[in-house]
Amino acid sequence: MKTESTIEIDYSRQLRILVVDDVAVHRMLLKSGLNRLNPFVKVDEACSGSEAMTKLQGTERYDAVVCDWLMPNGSGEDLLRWMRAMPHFKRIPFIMLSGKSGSQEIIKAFMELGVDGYVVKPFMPRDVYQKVVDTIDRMAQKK
Amino acid sequence: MEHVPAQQGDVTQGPPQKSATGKIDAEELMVRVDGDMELLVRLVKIFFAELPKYRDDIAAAIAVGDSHALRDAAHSLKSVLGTFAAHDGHEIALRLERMGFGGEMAGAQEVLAELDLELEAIRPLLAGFLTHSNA
Repeated sequence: MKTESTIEIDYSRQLRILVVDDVAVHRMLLKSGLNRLNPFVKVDEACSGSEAMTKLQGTERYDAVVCDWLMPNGSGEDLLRWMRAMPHFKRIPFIMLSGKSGSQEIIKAFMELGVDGYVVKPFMPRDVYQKVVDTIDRMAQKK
Repeated sequence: MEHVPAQQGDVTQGPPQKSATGKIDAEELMVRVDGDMELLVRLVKIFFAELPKYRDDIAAAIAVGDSHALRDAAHSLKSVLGTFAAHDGHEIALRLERMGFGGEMAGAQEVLAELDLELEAIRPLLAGFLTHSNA
């Protein structure tokens, strides 16, 4: 049995990830960091939940959404509720970026909204990548 | 792409006033960008470009007594200061965010003044990464 520390992360799989954050520094850090870890990752950006909805309805098919929670012009909660109500998007893994481990917003996100995973800010791109891959694999096993 | 080793310890700027520490954990910051100086320079440039808006949004929220706007504006600045490992600045912005969250605006102007001092103290530290890049 593999323990968490011995699980090897696949840094060569092709992934399409939508990063949603109103802070441009964070979008740049994630886009560059994820590409550095795995050059086969394609990262699209949105600066609000509203923009993310538009991107999701476009031609791109995303393997995961990585989303800040508290944003103006469409929060992470708004986006997640919308995705869960849309047949085409409700099974896309949703990773939230949250300010504090164990916070009420995280508990609410898991208990009421069905978020699939979270990473605490300030984040390391490596932690986000690992969480995305772990979550995709875990959800694939459930199917 | 230029890579630099993580610097050890804190980079500390002499505080302009007593309440500003002007600290950035350079080691944590370099780990966050995986030693990629080119990326760090891009992040600092983005931060400098957006900082006036972050600061002005907080000031405007305080001026009109809009606690929700204060929470949101302080939240964004708090998180980006955390990303730059500016822990004291992060802590001050967190206080503003909590004031906004709790709807308690009394004293927010004083906390903003404290934040201004801290931002001025860390600015040359971040600018130093730009200089390093051009060397």
